[in-house]
Amino acid sequence: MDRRSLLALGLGAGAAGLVGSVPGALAQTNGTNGQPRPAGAPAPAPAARGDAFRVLMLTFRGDTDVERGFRDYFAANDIKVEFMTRDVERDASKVKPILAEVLPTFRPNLIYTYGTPLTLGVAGPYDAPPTAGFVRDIPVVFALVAAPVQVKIAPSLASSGRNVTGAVHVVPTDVQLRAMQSYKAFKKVGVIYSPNESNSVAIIDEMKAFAGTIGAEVLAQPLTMVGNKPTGDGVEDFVRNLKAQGAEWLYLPADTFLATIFDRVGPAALAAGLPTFGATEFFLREGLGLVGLVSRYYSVGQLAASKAAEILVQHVPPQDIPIETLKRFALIINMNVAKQLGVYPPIAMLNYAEVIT
Amino acid sequence: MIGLRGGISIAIVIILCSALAVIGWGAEQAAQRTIAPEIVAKANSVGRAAADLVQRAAAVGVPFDRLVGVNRYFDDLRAANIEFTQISLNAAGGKELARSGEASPGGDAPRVFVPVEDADGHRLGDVMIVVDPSVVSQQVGAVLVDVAFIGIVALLVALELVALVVGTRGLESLVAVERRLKALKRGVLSRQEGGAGAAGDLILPIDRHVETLAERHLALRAEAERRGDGEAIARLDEIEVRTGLGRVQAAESEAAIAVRPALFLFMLAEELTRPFLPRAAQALGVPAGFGPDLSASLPIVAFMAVVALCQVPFASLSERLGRRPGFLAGAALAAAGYVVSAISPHYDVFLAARVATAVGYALVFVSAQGHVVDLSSGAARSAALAVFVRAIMVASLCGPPIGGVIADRLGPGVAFGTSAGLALVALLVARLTLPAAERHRSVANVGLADLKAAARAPGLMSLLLGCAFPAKFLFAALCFLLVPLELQREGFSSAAIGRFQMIYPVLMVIGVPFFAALADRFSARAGFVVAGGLVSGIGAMAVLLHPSVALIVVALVALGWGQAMSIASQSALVADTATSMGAGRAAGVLGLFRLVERSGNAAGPASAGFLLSTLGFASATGFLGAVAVAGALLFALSGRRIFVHHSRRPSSAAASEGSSA
Amino acid sequence: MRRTTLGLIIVFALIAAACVAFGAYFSYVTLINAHRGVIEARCGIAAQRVVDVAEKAASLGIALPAQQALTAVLERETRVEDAIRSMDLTDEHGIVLYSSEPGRVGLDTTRDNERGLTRPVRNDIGQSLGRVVVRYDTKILTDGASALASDLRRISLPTLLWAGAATLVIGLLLAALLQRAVRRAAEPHLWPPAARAALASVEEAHRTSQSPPAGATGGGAA
Repeated sequence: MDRRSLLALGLGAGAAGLVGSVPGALAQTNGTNGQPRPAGAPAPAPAARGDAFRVLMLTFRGDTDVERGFRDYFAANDIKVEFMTRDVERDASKVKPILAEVLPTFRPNLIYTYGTPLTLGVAGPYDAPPTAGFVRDIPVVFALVAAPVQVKIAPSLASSGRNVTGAVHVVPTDVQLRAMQSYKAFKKVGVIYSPNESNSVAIIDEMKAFAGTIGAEVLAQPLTMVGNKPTGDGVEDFVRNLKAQGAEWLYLPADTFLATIFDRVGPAALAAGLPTFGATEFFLREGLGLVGLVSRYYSVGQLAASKAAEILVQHVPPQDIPIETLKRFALIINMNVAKQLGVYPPIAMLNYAEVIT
Repeated sequence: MIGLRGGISIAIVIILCSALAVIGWGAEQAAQRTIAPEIVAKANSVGRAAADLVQRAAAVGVPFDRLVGVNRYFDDLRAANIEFTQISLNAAGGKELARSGEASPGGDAPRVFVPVEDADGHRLGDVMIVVDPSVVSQQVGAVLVDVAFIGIVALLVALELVALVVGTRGLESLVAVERRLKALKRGVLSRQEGGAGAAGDLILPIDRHVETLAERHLALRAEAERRGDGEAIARLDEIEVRTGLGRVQAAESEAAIAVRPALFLFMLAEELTRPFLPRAAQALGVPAGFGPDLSASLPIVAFMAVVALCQVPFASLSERLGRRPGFLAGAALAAAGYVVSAISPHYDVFLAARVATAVGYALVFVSAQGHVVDLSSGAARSAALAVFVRAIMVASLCGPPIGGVIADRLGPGVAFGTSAGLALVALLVARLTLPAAERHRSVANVGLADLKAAARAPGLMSLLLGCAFPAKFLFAALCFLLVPLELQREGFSSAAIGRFQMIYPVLMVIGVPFFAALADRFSARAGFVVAGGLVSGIGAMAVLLHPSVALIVVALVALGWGQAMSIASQSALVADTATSMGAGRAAGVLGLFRLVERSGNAAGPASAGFLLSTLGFASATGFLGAVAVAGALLFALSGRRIFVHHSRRPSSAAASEGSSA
Repeated sequence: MRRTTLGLIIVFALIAAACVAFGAYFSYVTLINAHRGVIEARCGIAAQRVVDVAEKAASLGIALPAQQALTAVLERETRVEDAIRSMDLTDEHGIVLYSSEPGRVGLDTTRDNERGLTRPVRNDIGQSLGRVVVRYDTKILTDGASALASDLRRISLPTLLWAGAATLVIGLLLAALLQRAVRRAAEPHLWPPAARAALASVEEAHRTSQSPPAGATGGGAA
């Protein structure tokens, strides 16, 4: 691996992420169909553009790498698509008015949604009554939904049974634990989670199942509950206790509430000398996590786009397209944390890891 | 005495063995000079890759003396590059920080040092790789094993060529002379059939002597009979039995085995395609709805299935056509099939061409077999069939490596072309050697009813389904599909795959006579059949332990050994059953045996293709092995008692085609 | 007969020589393959490193056409590995995007009939983005091949001649023995022992059966 060139590329990508829109380098690829279009530009009348597919993109917090990957996919495969992008500005309740306004005029062939709230806002749960007013006749392709089965977007990953499919960004739990194992072998792993989040509870079960196969033990620590809601009370003590019980790793699942207190968990683990493995990139970059295995948002967007292309170009019904996650993930190592803990990655990992320094 | 032909065959074996040993030695020298330096250069590349990684670790802030997992990384590198005995990382001060493997101290092992530097270009230490010269020569040794295989192939081809030359009619005079000399040597004074014109001068004196004696003998006997001298008659009859005097010794069944060279060449044509056929099929593009594994296995399966299905109908067809026209037509059809396979750009056309070849192949096989059966009888038939089987086995031994090399060097198209050429040469040889007009003896056609009757023979079905079918099933699946595809995935060339495919026939050629003799001596045929099934099945199941090239070899060796153990006994048991069924039913039993074997051949790759795509290589192989084991156990439980009482008949591979398709 | 025998011996000598030639050629092919295998393994290491760079960048959303830094990577790998003549990174249609030889950018590698080593570049969803194509110095290959060829020729030509000659000599020897045996077979007193013994026993039997001894018959009557 050529270190300098990789870093150069990595920096380029970081910059691209900050800008948050199509960077110059990519306009080049977009240009292959001769029509670079800034995101969110008003679409021409559908009648005049009969040769291009119309895709409505609903974003949650503006353009991210996911949308970039989604649009690039069509450009790279020479599929003419006319995009209309609408942002709900982190407010899922805006979905209904946007749809009411856009659907009659733009008449999209497909709707792209970002994240769970938007996907539910557009397509609703699969067991919603037909009268509930969700989109049932236009294919919906989602990206970045962590647990589509748990939130009732689909009864199973194999098929939604309806007009929905998409890309999941969660890395399978056993894959994560294997990565953890190859960074540093363990016999006891601690985990902190919100007991009210069914997704987190499911992950704890998966962890236990995997740990059983390698003869390891999972020390599961639920967060303190006040009524129905978790709180961060005593989380620093939890971390220290796990360390005292012999945990060699602290695993932080993709837990919605836990994500809000990363700034407390990370430093506590560092102070206790406990290496942390995070399921989200955010934790590694901002929360003093040591290492994590994450999906590249760009690739998740591409995966979603590949499913959209199947629907649009090959006319495969969405219910026949399984909901999938990526084939390959990114391993991110926070070298500053590694230095402070004195827990360095095995050298072979540097062949494929992205290192934050 | 050893005749000229026998003597020269032995001489050629000895001469070629020594000549090929010299070539092998030369190959080793050449390899040492040319390949060994390349291995050192490769060590340099690997060293640079390792040093780069260490540098990257240093650059991201891992202290040089606290690198983690270096030993493990070096272990992996060494596992991927077996010619490195040691890889180590040394600090600038000389302290060893990590090491994998251990080179023997001293010696002249080539060493490669690649410096590790920090971002500012200061040398932190270096990566050292020791290339073990003995491993280099081991690699060369592996090449030499290949060369040895090639030697065997060259030798066998030579012997087949010798047989081809010897079989030509131009040598009749020599044959006539040698037969007479041989008879004298054994003290046999019978008259010899066939005194060819050219040798007349030479054999006339001998024949005259024998003739005179015989005439005198006849006259004396007639005289004694007239006299009613029982004592004299007995004496004269005794001397007649002892010396063969007055009898006519029929020419050996050379006519029956005249088909051997043509058959050998034809079989060689098909065997050439083995190593590259799956790959060639895949290269034509995977048809819609097919996985790559299915598209590789379908041409093989179609071929085998057609050959299996044609067995019974072609038996009577070739009889109606005549054996010679049958052979010629089949060879021509197969040659056409090879030509189309060579040039076809489409998968469908390719498949159709393979089916055409299969039809031709079945016709040739059935005709050749019919020819041997027509022109021989009794023990001579068994011997003639054994010669026939040997030709097929030698072809299956020599074909794959040669075909592999041709495909590697010149492409599969040319290799198919070579097959077409060989099929045509076989056609010409058959035209020259097979008798044109045959006496059409009425041999009972084998029909469905005969097969049904045969199926009711006691114990036969458990032998066929428990052992004969699984044996062929496992063999065809492993040798024709699973092993070639897996080795291809491992990056082996067609030529190398061809040599792996030789393991089986080599063991068969060596093992069959050996085990046949053992089984006869201990009169434990059923036992050998069961043991053979278990050995081959367990060998295949061993692949499950740790899928690797070594275990693939183990599976192939077990397969060859196991089949060698069981096949001769299987055939003898079937032949016994055929005999016990009475003359009218024997053909049905043999036909059923062949049909079941052929079905195993066809079903093997078909199931393997399916299993490969669902279970993967190791599980598919293990599963097939388990089938063989289960079959052997089934036979052991159900069939054993029935066969114990059967009459003894020398085991031979005659009734089975051994390794052929 | 003599002509047949001689012809046969010559054919056998030719077969022996041909098989030695065949063995030598196949040994040569085997060694060439081994030689190329080592060289390709070496180039494969370099190719894989470029693939790693390209794939990692692709997962960050940098499409291959935007990975300008790859030219430097390719140049460096080519420089470091002396067996490599040039290295290209092509898109999935085989068009060169980057190359260690700037002049090759834009060329269609599918039209190159030259043998090269390729490694696919894939993205995170398993699709092929393009290929790294290594064109190694064929001179190394041809040099190796000709070195191997001359080494093997030096050893196999004499061996081949020797094998042919030896077969010829042994064949002639056997032919002479055959000739002698035929000559002797014409004279019953020169026959092999078994045949002479058989002859003797025949003669004996014939003699005793020829004319019934008068005494015996007469005695019976008396």
